Amino acid sequence: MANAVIMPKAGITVESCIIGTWEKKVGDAVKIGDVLFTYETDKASFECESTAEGTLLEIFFEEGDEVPCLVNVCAVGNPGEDCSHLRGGSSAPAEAAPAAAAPAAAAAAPAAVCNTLAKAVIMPKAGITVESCIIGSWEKKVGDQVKIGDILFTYETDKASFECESTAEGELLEIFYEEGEEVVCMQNVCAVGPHGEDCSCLRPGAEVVVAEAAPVEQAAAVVEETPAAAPVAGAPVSPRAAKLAKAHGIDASLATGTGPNGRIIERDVQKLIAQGVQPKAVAAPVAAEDEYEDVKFSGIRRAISKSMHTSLSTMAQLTHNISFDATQILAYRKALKAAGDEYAGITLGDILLYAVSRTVLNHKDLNANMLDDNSIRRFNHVNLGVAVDTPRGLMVPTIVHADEMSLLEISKAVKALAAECREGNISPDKLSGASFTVSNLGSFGIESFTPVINPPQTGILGVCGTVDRVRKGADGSIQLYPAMGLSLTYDHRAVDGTPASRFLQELCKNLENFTTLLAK
Amino acid sequence: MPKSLFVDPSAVRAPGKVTFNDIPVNQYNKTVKEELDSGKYTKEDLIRIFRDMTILREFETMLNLIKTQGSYNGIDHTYPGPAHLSTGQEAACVGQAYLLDENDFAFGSHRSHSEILAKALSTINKMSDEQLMQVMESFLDGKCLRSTQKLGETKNVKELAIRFILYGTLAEIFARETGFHMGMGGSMHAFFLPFGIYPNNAIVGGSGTISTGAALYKKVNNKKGIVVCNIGDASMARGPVWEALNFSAMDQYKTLWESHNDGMPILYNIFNNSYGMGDQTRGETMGQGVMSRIASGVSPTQFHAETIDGYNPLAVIDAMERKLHLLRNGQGPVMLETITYRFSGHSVSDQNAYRTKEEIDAWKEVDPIITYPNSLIEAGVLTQEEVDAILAETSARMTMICKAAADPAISPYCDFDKDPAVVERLMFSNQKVEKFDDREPEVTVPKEEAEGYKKIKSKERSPIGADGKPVSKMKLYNLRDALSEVIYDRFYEDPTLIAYGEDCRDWGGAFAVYRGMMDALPHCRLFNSPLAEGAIVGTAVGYALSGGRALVELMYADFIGCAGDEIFNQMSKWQAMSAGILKMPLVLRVSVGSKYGAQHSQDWTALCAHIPGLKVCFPATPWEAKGLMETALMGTDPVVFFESQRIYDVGEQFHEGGVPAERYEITIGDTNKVRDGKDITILTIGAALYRAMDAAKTLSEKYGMEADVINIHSLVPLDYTKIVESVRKTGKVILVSDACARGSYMNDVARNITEMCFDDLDAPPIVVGARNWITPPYEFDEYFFPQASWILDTIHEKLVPLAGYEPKSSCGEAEQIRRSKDGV
Repeated sequence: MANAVIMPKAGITVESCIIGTWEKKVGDAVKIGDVLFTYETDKASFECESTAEGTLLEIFFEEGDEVPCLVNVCAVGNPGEDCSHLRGGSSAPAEAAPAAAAPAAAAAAPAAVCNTLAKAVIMPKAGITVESCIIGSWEKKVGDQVKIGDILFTYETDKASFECESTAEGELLEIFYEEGEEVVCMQNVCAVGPHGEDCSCLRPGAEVVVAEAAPVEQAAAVVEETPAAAPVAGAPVSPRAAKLAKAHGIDASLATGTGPNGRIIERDVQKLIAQGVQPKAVAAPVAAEDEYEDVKFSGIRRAISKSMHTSLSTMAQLTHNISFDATQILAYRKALKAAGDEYAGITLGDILLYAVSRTVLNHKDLNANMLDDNSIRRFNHVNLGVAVDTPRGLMVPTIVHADEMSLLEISKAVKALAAECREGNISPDKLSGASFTVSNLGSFGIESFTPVINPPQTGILGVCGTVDRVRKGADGSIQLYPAMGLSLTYDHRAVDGTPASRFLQELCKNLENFTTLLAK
Repeated sequence: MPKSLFVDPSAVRAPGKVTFNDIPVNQYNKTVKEELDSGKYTKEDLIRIFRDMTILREFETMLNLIKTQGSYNGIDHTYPGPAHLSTGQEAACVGQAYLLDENDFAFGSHRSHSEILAKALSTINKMSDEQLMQVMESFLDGKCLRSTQKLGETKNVKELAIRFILYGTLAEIFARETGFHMGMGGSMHAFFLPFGIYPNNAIVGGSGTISTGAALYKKVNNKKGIVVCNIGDASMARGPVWEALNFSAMDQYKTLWESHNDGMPILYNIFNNSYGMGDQTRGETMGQGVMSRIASGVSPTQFHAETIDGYNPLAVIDAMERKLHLLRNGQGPVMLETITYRFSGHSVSDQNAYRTKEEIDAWKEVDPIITYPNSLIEAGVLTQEEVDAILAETSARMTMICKAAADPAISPYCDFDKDPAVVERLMFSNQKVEKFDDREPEVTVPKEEAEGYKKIKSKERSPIGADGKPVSKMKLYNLRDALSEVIYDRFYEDPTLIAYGEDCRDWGGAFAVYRGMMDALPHCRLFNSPLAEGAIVGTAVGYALSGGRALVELMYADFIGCAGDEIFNQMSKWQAMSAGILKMPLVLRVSVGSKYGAQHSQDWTALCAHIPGLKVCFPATPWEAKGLMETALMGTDPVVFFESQRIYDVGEQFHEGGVPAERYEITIGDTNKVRDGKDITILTIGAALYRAMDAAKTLSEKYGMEADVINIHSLVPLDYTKIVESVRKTGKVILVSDACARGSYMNDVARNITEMCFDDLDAPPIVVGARNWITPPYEFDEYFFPQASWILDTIHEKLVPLAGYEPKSSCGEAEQIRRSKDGV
């Protein structure tokens, strides 16, 4: 019987060798150990000794041929014997798996194999961005027989409702989630299988790899997809992201960090830019020196900045303008001045404050604070905020329970608080707690403006200057009268237009009939 | 494993016995009168021997006073550096040097002031005035001579030369710019090449291998003279010294070498003063009793060893005469044990706690500085007055020299304030030298007819053939071929180039880089070394600093530890310590293993990169390998050339058109960008490049990210320009190498990137290296060495989360702290 001589494997990494020279030719007699041919790897040259005895029957590869290791190179046997079956043969094991594969595969195997005939039905992924769904109702109950395609339960996303069909046949063995529960997509929801089968290993949390639950391969196109998350205050910003944000004049902290540990990284700022977030300030054109001065905000300025920006960016504000006949309060003020002493110090502004303190309680949604988007706190007294101009900026001290104070008391309180503000020694307690605010720009001749609400209040009254206006008198004559403007800004979330107008209307009436108000 | 040497079992198994020849001990017994009568010496010769001894003694006495009292003959000076004095050893040094000339190289130890000066004085005596002037005027552009001439006129050139050698040595010890090596060597590293005085060495036994390499240089390149290796008794306990002895006595010089087959022209001279530092080598820390016995364990010639009395200069000259005769007749190596004694301590802080006053006094009784002149007076050669006159002249000269060397006006220090880069310029010589000798290179066939070279030239230089099909592995020009090709080219250009290492010749190197070269080169240019890494590198250092080009190989990078001193202290330091006078054209090939476990798989690039003075390369593609080897083998600097066993077979996958057939150089320090991308930078060292490319492919195909991949093929020097450019562009960088992550060179790169690109970084640079474990068996390779998946995991977890990516492993901060805390 003819035997093949194979190309030896000259080393673990050697895959093939080149035949150098044949030392024997077909027909030669060979003994075991005779050198048949030489062969080379890229490192060395070797001699191949015959592993069989007899006649060299056939040579399958010529000199210079590259032969894979363990492949038959020639046949040795009895003269005339057929050796064609050895041609192209090999002694290589069918599955010559690399040595390293074995332990790797072993390690990759799951820690616990789920040995059950039951099959899990999973919560489908209703969309690429859907991460979990809520179970609506169960259409089958434990013990029911189900077929593939039977509706097992309904489930909802925030947009739509779906039906989940069974992907397995048998008895509904166990339900892992009840109606109303939120289930992460691809998670096992129930088990279906032969009656009595143990399906505990399918229960979520059983740490078993479920082959069918492999997540959909994410394509390159979804790289930009990031979980919807809100910006986190104080999230770390990478130097690169910070640099990019600075170059675009935007606040990097407004970005949602998608880096490790929520770090705001370059792509997050790029997204912000793409969304069109406005620069913090209009970038000043490059100007020659001395044409401007960059000044850092003082603490109070920063507080104002933040508060005002929050006010306008979080509320639904609008302003109504009105004017009233100031004849009576001007006359009254004149009388007080003439009265001398402490009465002489009562100003038109004080009169306005008094009128507000006696009016706003009838319009409780304006004498209030917003607690959150859904609730409001109405006050039973009027704590009047008074805008005071100081060298450091706008300050708003509060006159507590102004509704219980006389005009003179209000006047004195305002003067004392304003003095403390200007001196900068006012207690922070006196700068908070207002239920409504009055801002008076009348002395500057402002005819109307848009006061900005001091959060969380719901309204602010702007007091404007007095101008002479004409009106048609009851007798048809043209009359000249002093008209004082009022601008009310209110938060439309808390107050609608009509009640706000009613407040202004009553306030005007009270001011036009101020002596009557005083009598109350 | 040469096939020509038959290991005959009947011969090696035959009964018999080993015999030894007697080793002469202190056999010299002639009197001065007998020597004088025999006509061997003139009176002047005998007097000059004494004069030289006094110069040596005064030099050490002066240093001792400066160190201990801050003053010598009224000259106040503070010298903070080392002073390992040889007071008492003068007769041995003068006797040894008596017959040597400038063609004979002498290497020394940390205690070599006397050896240097004795060799110089002997050489000065033998050289003509013209030769001396030429040496002094050309050395360091005459800077040292001009300082010497400020001391005033001399009666003759020889006196000027004596002042010159004393001044240059002392100024060097005092760290002055006018010293022989600008003060960069100092007391333990002073030398003077024009007089054949070669480096002394602060590492005990350090000169053992280096001087053997110098002898190899003389032998292979037919250079005149012999080499003296002066080492102390304590150094005979050191492994590398034994390695050197064996290297010098290899049988192959006689059995295999076709030419230059004389014995190694080296004298191992052990100055045995009985003490290491304080340990007593005879009776305490060693067991030979008589050191000349050692050579009997190395060679049947017993190195013609004898023990001689170093307290009689004439006994030493007598022995040297006989040993030089042997050496000059090709019968080296030889060994002498020269008995001597030092009166001074190991250093000036030595309290002599290990020996008695009686012992010192007993030796002072026979102090040759007294006994030798007495013998001259007795023989009628000298009178006491003449002795006193010689002592006075020596003292006056030393006082003048000391004054000048201590005076900053004559002997300024290097000004580090004005010139902070003074040492920087000395670290590398950065020259390009095609050949270090003009003779025809010794080869056995013309290059074009060398089979191995022809085979390389016939290979396909690109992985895709002209027909557009992948080239078979067997026919593809790979990284191994790239190295071989350059080495062939350089062998045929530089006649001084020699290559050796373990199994370099018949086997062709363990990884076949020298395969086939034995058919083109004689043994003297390519030979198998003993399995002794200290000797491999140390001899190469000696070969290179003597003026030849050496290419040596460590089979595995893990063996760097076996040649630690030779790589880290010798190969790296001598260019700068010599202020650029020595060159180190030495390329050390080091192969990084895989598959062979914990002691054969380590990437130790960081160790070499850490040591100043070494250039470090690690090509990962055939194109890089060819260009870098060309540069390394043309240069004059020491290069540790790392190669990875994982990739000897790879073809060129990145360089357009494959590896050019023509010669080209790659600047050591450049980087190789192999992939263009805008989203992330991946830096690699070594074979990790290929796994990084796999990761880059996945990033592109699955996550739409394009990686810039840059291979750092040169660790030292390293030009960061392209790296910084890339990181500024991408803002993210991951650094991958197969070195264990802790202390990996990549950490250094990461630190520099952090400094230079901080404001452009979107995440911290992260180093991915091998685990801080032993290398487990190959079957677990993927758990130890960085894989493409590790790179992706790291990017996802630490740089930029990848949508939908499931990391296979996780290393959060707590885990990082734990691992560090556990030291793993």
